[in-house]
Formats: sequence, C-alpha cells, structure tokens
Amino acid sequence: MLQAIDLSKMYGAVSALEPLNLTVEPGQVCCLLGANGAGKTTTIHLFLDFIPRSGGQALVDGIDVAEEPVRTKALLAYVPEVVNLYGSLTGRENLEYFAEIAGTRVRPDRADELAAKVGLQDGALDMRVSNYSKGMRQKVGIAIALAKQARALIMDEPLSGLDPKAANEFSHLLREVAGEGVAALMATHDVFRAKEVGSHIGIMKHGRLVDYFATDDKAHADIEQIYLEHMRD
Amino acid sequence: MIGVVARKEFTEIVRDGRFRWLAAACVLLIGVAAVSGLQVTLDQLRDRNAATASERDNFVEQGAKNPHAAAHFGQYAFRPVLLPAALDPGVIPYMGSMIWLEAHRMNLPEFRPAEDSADFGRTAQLSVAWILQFIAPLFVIVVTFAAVAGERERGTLALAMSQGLSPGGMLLGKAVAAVGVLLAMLVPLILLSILVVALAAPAAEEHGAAGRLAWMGVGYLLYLVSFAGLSLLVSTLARNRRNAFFALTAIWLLVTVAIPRIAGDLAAAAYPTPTPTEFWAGIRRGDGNRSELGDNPQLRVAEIRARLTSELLDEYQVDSVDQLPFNFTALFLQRLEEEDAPIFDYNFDQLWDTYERQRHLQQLTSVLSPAIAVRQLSMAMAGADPYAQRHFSVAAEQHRRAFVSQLNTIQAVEGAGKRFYVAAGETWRDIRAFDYEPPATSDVLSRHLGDLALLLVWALAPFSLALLAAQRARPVR
Repeated sequence: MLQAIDLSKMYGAVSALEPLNLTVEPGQVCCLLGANGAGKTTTIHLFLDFIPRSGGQALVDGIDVAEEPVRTKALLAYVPEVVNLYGSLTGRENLEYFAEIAGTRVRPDRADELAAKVGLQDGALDMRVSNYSKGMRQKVGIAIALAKQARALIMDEPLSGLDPKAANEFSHLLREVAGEGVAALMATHDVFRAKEVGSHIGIMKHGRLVDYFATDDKAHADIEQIYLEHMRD
Repeated sequence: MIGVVARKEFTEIVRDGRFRWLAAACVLLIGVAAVSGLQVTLDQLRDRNAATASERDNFVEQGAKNPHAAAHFGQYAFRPVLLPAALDPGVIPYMGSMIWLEAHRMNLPEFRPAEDSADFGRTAQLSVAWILQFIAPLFVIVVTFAAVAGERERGTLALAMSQGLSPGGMLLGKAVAAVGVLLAMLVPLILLSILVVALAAPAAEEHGAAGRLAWMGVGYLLYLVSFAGLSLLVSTLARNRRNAFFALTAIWLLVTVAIPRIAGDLAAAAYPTPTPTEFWAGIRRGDGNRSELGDNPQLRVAEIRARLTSELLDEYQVDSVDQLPFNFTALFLQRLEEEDAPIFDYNFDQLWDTYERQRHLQQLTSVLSPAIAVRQLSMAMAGADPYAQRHFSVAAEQHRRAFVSQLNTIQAVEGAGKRFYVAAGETWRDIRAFDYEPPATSDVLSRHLGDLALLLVWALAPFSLALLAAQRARPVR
C-alpha cells in the first residue's frame, strides 16, 4: 500500500534522506524510530508530497505521489505532530471542514461518534478550538483522519500532547483500524508505543534506515536494546 | 471544494473580532463621508437652482434697453450638480461652478468651491471616493494578507493539503470569500446610495444618477478585487504573514499614493497647462485667428468694420450704412462675434485638449496602478472630471453665441433705420434660458472603457498569477 523505492532527499549538498526502500502492506503498522533529524519526518513529508523528492519514488497503492498528488492524497489520512486547526471554528466545524475537503460529509451523529472514539469529552466538539488544549486538538486531528476512512494512515508523532490514557486509547484505535486493513506509517520517539502498536519497526539514523524488523519476532526489551545500540553508534 | 473553502474562510473572517472592528470603522467612515457629501451636494443643488431662477428673473426683468446692452447685461450659466458627486467631488472644488455669458467674450468657469474654504478645511475633506481609493485597499489587505502565508505558518495548510485540497482550489476558495466580503460591504453601500439619490433628487436632477452610481460601484469592486488578488499573490509567495503584510503595505503605498502622484506630475510636465495670464494673452494675441486680419485688436476691429461696410454697400448698392434695410451696427456686432469665435474655440480647445492628453497619459500609467483608472472612472461617473467641465463649458458657449446672435438679430430687424434702438422690456422673455443636459451615462462610459478594461485586467491578473504560484506552493518550506 505504501512503498518507498530508493526515495531520497537532499538539501543542497546535505542528505536528509539516503535512498530508502520500504513497504507497508495493508494491515501493517510500521513505526519509524529515530532521534531528531534522523529523517522520519522527511520520509513522511515525501509520502505526502509536501516537499519535492531528490530521487526515487514514493508510491501509494502503486501511484507515484509526485505525479498524482491529489489522487494519492485521497487514499491517505495524515496526523501531524502538532495538529493545528482553525481557532475561530468549533471542533465540529473543523472536523466537518477537513472531512468535506476530503470529499466526505460528516453528519452530526457521526461527528459525536468520532469524538467519543478519540476520547474528546462531551460538549468539547462544540467549543471554539481557540479554547482547546494541545491534547484536544490532537484528538480532533485523529478524528479528522478517521473520518476520512482512508486506506493508508501517515502519522508524525501523533501521540504528542496526549495524556497516557488518551495515548493508550489511541493505540487500541490504531490496532483496530489496522485490523480493518489500513496500512499505517508512524514516526515516533516512543519505543514502548512502537512495540505496542507496530507490526514492523524501522530505525532511522542520519537519514538512513539502519534496521527494519517485524515486532512479533522480538521482545520489548530486545527492541529497546537494538534501538539504544543504534543510537550509541 | 471551492465553495467549502470559501464558506470556511468567510466564517473565519466574519468571526474575527479585528475584522468586525475594522469593518465597523470603515462603514462608519464611509457613512459619515456619504452623509456629509450628500449634504454638501444637496446644498449646492439648492443654491444652484435658486441662483438659476434668480438669474433668469434678473435677465428677463432688466427692463427696456438696447439688445446689445442686454447682451452685455449678460447672464450666468450654472453648472449642474450631479448627485454621484456626493460620493466623489473630483475636481469640482478646483474648477468653476458657473460661467459668465456676455457679448464678445467666452469666459472660463469661475467661483471655485475650494476658494471659499479655509486651508484647514481643505485638508479635512473626506469623500467616499477617497476612502474607497485609499483606505478600503488597506482594509482588503488586512483581511487577506494571511490567507495563504498564515495557513502555512499555522500548519493548517499541511493538514488541508493532506486531505486532498488542491492549491488552486484553496486559492479560488479564498478569492471567492474575499470577493464575498467585499460584495457584502459594497453592494449595500451602492444600493443605499442609489436609494438615497432616488429619494433625495427631484426627477429633473436625476441625470442618470442610478446608472452612474452602479458603474462607479463596478469600478470600485474591480479595484478592490485587484487588491484582494495582489494580497493573495503576495501571501502565496511570502515566507510568513509578517513578510506578506510588510510587502503588501509597501505595494499599497506605491499603488495608491506614489504612482498616482508621479503619474500626475509626469502628465503635468509632459502637457503643461497655461497659467491664466498666458491663456488670456493667447486670446488677446488672436492665436488661432483664421482670417488674414492682423493681431492688433483695435486695427482688427476697424478692418472688420471697413470690410463689412464695403461688402454691404456693394451688395445693396447704397452709399451709406444708414440706408441699409437693417441695423448695420447689429450686423457688425454679429460679424465681430463670428470673427472672434475661432480664436476662442482654438484657445479653449487647446486648454481642454491639454487636460485630455494628461488624462490619456495617466490612463497609460494605470498599467502600474489601478488607483489611477478607478479615480478617472469614478470622477467621470460623478460628473466631476475635466471632461464634464468641458462639456458644460462648450454648451454654455453655444448658448452664449445663440443668445447674443438672437439679440443681434432683434436689433438688426427691429432697429432698422434707427440710430439708437431700445427694445421693450418684454423682449427678453423670448430669449431662451440656458438648458443644459450633462453627457449621457453611455457617453461617459464609452470614454472610460479603457479604464474599465484596465481595472478588469488588474482584477484578474494577480489572481491568475496567484493561481500559478499556488500550483507550486508547498505547505512546508
């Protein structure tokens, strides 16, 4: 569903992403672990065609994102690290707006259902977003992604700002959507959460994918050990 | 998708407290200017109508006298006041509002309203046109400068584009919202102006005011849309909101103040108008004199008299002008009028043509600033531009020549064989009053199609460029 073939990004002479080869099949959750500047966000931005690539291809369902950006985005949902919404609109209006530009109409009862699913407290959906906390905005961002019912989910530190309970609920939610056949690519610093939700983990360092494995084969302690060893090098 | 973006954008703008305060301030300012302008215009209209009636009474009741003395008694032609001038007084304060019509002489309009106001009063002049030309673009910029740069800076652009929002769709949606806001503010203003004019103006004073106001509205809408387009273009290209705002403020200053001022100075330098002294000196010299008669006024008059005498004595086979079957003096006075007419026409045409050349040069510079085009269109539609003055001046001169000719004819016929002829007091009732109709709206419009076309280009070009720029826009840099 998501495929990187020799995908790379250079900023002048500096390489932000070395040629990357990666595949995320439907039902898989691939977590990219790595320190700041490792190339996780660059990979995500390339899949979203937010930045022009320097080489290779990023494919969504076999379609090149740079050649057909609008068509591939119809297949994707995105949760950024910091969900920025329109402060003068309510959470519901934001949800309806972002869903509508994705071509989906969200009825009021569906909006309430999504709000409950992401753990947004009662009545919060009808408050202006300018009064929201970071965590509340993050939850609306996740609801927006869920409302799209996309076949692939791309997330850049989606748990940022969420309290432990909400983060745990999100993990359940992510496993649920993956169980429905959605392919997910998630950048995170959180080794514990990566092990909990990821079917695969990729470790990135200095713009390179230095390790990639299925989580089923490894215990949590092993994953943490592998990650720390890579970080030490 | 465009509609979805436009609706969201509109809601955001309307909910923005800063917008509401700014819009309220603009509406209040425009309201005050409109009421004050209408008051001044209605006062001018009332004064003009009263003066016209009184002037006619004075002429008709001047009593028994020689018709040529009646021609010297003269009469004033008062420039009509068009109600759209309440919104845009144009050059009216600086050009005369009436012309003294008398025998032998074509006069320039006199009594300029600006001469009657103190200097501090002049600086305090506030018209709806001024607000729409200078303040409203700033309002448009404040409302739209963050449209794209702000979304990028806040991060909402990334989320929106990840949802499949195309850059073009986003920009068009924002453009529709910006135009919607402008329409929401301008249309009620135009309709209200038309309604007020319909209620305030006697039918005879309407002079196509509704149509003129509607075209002014179209011009201002295109003008403000051009600023919305510029604002969206800069917002698309700018790195952040701050840069967009400063760039747009500089553009605003350049487009509304600097370029029109430079264009005006350039036009005046390229086509200088004569000073009043130079102008009347040209007439005294007989510039444009088509006859082979000399330039010396006294000799010229004596020569005209000698030639006419010779012609008439030959034609009627008489020895003295006293034997002619009509009053010779009347014919001589009429001949003087006819000999002087080309001189007046030449010098006045030169003057008006200079204004026209200045206008054409300024129209060319509209390529650099839509403020010039909208100013020209607005003044013209308000009947407050030099062309309206020329139209009035030409009509007044035609009337002068007609009534002087009519008086000379009366003297020629009724005064035949009489050395001193005195016409009865009732005679003057037969002299037609000055009845002037300003140029039709369609005529004014046809003269300013170039300005309208330029405004249309200005309204569309920045949007098109913004659309092109948006195609390459990325939500992150």
